[in-house]
Amino acid sequence: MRPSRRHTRSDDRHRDEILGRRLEELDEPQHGPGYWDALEHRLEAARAAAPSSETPEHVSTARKPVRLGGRRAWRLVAAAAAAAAAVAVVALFGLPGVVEKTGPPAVEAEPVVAKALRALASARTLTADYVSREFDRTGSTAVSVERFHIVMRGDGSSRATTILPPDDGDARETAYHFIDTAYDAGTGIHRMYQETRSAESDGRSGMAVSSASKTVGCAIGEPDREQGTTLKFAAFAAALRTARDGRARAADFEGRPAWVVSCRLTATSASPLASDTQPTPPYDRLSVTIDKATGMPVRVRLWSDDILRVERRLENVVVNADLPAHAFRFSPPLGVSFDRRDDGFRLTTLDELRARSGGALLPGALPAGYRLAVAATAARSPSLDRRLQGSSITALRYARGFDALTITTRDVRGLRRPPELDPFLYEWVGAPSRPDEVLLTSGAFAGATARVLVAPLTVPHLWVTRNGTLLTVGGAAGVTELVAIAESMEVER
Amino acid sequence: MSPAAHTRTEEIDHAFLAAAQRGDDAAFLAIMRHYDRLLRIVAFHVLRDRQLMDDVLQDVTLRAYRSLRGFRGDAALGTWLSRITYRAACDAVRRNDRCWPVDPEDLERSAAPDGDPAEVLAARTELEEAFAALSAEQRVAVLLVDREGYDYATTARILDIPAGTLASRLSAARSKLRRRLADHPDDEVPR
Repeated sequence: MRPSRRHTRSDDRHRDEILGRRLEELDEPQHGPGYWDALEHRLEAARAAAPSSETPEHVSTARKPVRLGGRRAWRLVAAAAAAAAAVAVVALFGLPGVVEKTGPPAVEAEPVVAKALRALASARTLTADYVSREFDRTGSTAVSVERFHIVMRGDGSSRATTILPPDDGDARETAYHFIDTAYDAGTGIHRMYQETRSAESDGRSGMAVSSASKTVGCAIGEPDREQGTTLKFAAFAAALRTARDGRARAADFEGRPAWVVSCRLTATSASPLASDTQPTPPYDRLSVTIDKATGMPVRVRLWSDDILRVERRLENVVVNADLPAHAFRFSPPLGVSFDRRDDGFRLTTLDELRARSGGALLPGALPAGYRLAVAATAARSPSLDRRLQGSSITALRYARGFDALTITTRDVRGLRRPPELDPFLYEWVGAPSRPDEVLLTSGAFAGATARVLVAPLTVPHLWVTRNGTLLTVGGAAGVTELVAIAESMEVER
Repeated sequence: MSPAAHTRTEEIDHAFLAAAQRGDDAAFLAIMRHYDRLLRIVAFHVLRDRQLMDDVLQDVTLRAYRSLRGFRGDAALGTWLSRITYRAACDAVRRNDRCWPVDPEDLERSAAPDGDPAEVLAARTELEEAFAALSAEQRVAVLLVDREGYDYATTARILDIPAGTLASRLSAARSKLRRRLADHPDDEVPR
């Protein structure tokens, strides 16, 4: 069988050929990779899903044509699409006996996101190179770039070391800011070494300034302890949760099979970047790239008006490797000594907390899989920032792999603290302009209005004040889970 | 792009249709491959998004697969498929205002260290901008008639509008294009 050469007659009298030639410059893209394989796959699924009487081999030969825009046709297509999606999910997770295929061009993101969330919840260790880039409003200039080699452990320990560009031997090009920061959750000690060298216009290398600090009594989690980098897996998880209603598509990332889940965003906020004097337009599009083999989210990107504004990515990812004992501590270079400070947090136990006068405010419900990792108290906040001010601070950190939740309470009586003041405010990158407001109906905070904020690249969090006590819940959880935790808070003795 | 690259799709031999209607999947896929370029023209210039184009064309293929036995040949097969595609693409535009899939290849391009968003912007030619300013119906109409050489009757059937309406919309589209391109003396567009 060969295509015929029969032509459709063109009405040349009414054709604008000059314009037509100009329109030759326009083109239509080819299909994405795997399009035809996926199509065959979907046809197979459609044939398998349809009742035998509706397959082409058995369709009635009645003369009445199927009405293409009618409901019956749409039901058939929907059934075929559902079957195809099921096939895609099977392909994605590689069930025994099933040959993995590329899958349809786009599937529902939910199963992909679920796999990524499970990967985060089950990871023990991770090493990777982390790159954070933020662009100006033209999208062409990076106004902020961070590159770190990172090492993380599920208990909250972390190490981040600046990756410096290769030294080309030109002294004028040697300006840099190097930072090495390590937090050992086992001891609660945070170490930091930083070195800054400026470039001089006369061609000589500038002076290097270095310093080191060792902080004991660190806060055990958000909002009191800021991490050394912008990398926060809870924020990655928040991005995943945001994108779960979007679409997923097969892709390659650094030469490895990956999935990209993406969706449109609504009502995101102005979030000034470091070099911008004007507020950033709202982020309106989000994508998360997920490594197919490990399920780890490896890249989060945000756009405004289709211009890429923020990218956070992990490269050279290794999951669950054994780490050396000294992974989260180091000594400064010769000639540099640690400045020592104490942030005032002391590790404690739940029994010690319950034994205090007045008992302890503890959660009665947590999302599945979370276990208490560490508890700590501090007489007052080490921060001068009014959003964190307070006394008699109690902090509880729960962990589930790299997922972590930190619950804090503090006495804010007499501080004239506005209820809308977000203790996590510095986290606002792409956050909604307004947090959700939820009236709590049970627990020690019943009757108070909690504010909940879940947004891409922001640690999901809740805060509420009642009777002079500020409660914060921050970490890898959704709105419903955060509210459930807040409503489960009760005094235990 | 050479002019030869844009050649109107001929009608496929009826034997393919007959075989497909008997349940020959290979024949059905051969039909879809044969008309693929025409359908990409229709879908892409409504949607202006490659991923959505692929999604819509996959669904169109499934719909055609289910409906092919009922195809009576009142219109040419290519016209019939194009009309389904046009309707499906317009439906997709209406449906996809909340979640808009992103083409991973576009994302990879955007990840290039030399500032790909600027490249994307730079690559947006005057012609593309002028063309994008037309309605979806105008874009498809002007491409099919002026570039691809389809007659008014066929194009009107694809767009599901009367031929007279097509003529007036084509006229409006051409006028818009000429106005937008008028500031570029090198453009070979008649006044």
